[in-house]
Amino acid sequence: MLSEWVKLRRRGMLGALLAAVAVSVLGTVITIVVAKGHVVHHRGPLGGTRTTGSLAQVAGQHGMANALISASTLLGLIALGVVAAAVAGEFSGGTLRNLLVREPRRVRLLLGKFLALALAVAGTVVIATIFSTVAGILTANDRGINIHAWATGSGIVDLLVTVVEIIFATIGWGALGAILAVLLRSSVVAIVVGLVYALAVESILVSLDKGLNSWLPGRLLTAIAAGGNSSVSLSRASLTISIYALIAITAVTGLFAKRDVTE
Amino acid sequence: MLAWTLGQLVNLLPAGALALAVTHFGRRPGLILILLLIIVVAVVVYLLVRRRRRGALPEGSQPPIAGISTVGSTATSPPLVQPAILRPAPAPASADGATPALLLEGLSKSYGSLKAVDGLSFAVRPGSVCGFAGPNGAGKTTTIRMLLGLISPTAGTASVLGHSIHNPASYLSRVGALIEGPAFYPPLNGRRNLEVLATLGGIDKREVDRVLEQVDLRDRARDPFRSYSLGMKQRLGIAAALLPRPELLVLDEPTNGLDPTGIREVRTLLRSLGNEGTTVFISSHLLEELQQMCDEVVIIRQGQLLFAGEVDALIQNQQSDLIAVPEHAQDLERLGAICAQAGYPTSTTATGQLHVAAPVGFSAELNRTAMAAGITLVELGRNRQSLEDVFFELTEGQKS
Repeated sequence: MLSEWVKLRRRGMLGALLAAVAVSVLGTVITIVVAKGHVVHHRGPLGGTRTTGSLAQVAGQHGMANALISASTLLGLIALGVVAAAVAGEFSGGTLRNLLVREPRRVRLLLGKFLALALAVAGTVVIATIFSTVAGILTANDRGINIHAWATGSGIVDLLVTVVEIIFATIGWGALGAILAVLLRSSVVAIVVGLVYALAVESILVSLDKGLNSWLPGRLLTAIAAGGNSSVSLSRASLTISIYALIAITAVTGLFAKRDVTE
Repeated sequence: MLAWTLGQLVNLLPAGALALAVTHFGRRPGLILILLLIIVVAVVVYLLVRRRRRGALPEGSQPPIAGISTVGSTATSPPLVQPAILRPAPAPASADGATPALLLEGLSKSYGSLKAVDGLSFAVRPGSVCGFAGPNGAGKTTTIRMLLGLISPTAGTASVLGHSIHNPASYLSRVGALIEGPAFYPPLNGRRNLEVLATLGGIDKREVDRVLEQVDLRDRARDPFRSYSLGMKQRLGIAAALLPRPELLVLDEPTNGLDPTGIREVRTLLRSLGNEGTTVFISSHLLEELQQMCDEVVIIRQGQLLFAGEVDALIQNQQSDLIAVPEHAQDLERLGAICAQAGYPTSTTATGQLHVAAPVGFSAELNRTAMAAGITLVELGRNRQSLEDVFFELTEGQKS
């Protein structure tokens, strides 16, 4: 895992971090800017403001969390790409053979690599959250939205819980990227297959049968990031993803442990 | 197996625990609980994995095995019968009883109907510098990959430093390797690339400076790998192989891309490592280099062993030609007739040399007979074969 950290300290990873921050900030700002409704200023000795429409949701204690959730799938797709590139790059670049000579316990190598990448993904989500929160506060103030509810105890806890959920979901996307990378052994192919699956295949399948919303991995990860949604609860989504993970990880680590390293 | 199973559990833990904890304890306390669980299980797995020590056989526990041609043992070098293909000779693995650094017994690798390596058997004595030669596609890299645990054999067995290749974790910490050219991370500089491998192998990072110095790359260590010339990349690959202060160094074409100075430096480095007791197993197409560098050589073709033994023994035992050059070119024909009369076939070259397929003992008789016939020889000697000549005889002469 530590050796993976050495590799992560490079410009390409900084680019991925910036992209994640940009996506998250953009999602947050757009969510607040496009919220419809009015800010009503109360007259009288108490003063204050009241919001209507979706602006009211933004102003509520879950407002910032909702804004973050809006960009969570895109964060997940970035994680998919970064993890797939990092894992498949070892195959296509020929560096895997060097790594396996120094660490022949293959499952341990793969696990360590994924844990390092998962930590990097988690860190990226945290950094993106910090920037997004600052951007959200500035945008809300600009629109004159009263966001005091964000700063209440339950508002802060709500935000933190959402961040943890987004971290899990984003790591889940990363795991999908790692699985594709081990199977396909090419960065480009793994990323393309992952994106096409997440953006196109799942949408087509769901359009054919709405019930698949509670079964397809991408939809489940989106539901986990949102703390559950109208299609599937958080617990059901997590349980289903666990079963998928059990099957996929057993297959992939088994394959990685036994397959010849010829390239 | 235990670590592997626990590894799977760690992978599954976040999502599974999330589901169960949230279901039973509600959203917020559930999340806190699973974070604690993850930390506890991760620590337990780490401790268990650390306790798994290498399942090494005790040194010397592997007895020498008869039927394996041994490289590096004078007493056991098989006699060379020219031009027959050499097969593994029934001989003990090592004259001094030491565990061979490499021991292959019928090692084979097939891809479908293609036999990349076909029943390869030989042994390499510890502390020797052994060349590994063969035409392209002979199976050299496949053999090396099997020895390093990168691919699995389809038949046969092998051991490296006394440990079965089925458990590469038991010996690879004592092995340095450069396989199929240097492969590193292009955006990282040379030092950082080596640090990745040092960290992974639990090697002190001060070793990075040592090996950079050894391959004369210290001045360029902070430049990105992608800016390196082929020769510099090759040096970095050798540096990576030297990182663990290996007992066995396995190098696949280490002099590729190096200029003559670089080749000489690598040769000197490898020879000095050999003198210090490191076993060096080096695959190369540069037979001249192998001849200068190696004590022993293994030659294979189409995945099969042609020769395994000392380089000098290989060359000296080859039947060599005599070369005779008459003072006047018109005497070539008469000189050839003298040889033919003695029963030795001849051939002439465009440069006016007569090659006589005769033992060195015939040279005195040829000199006397030529003199008696009024032919003055300006040159008479033995055409000593190089490793390259022998290599071609072995690899091409047996194709039919």
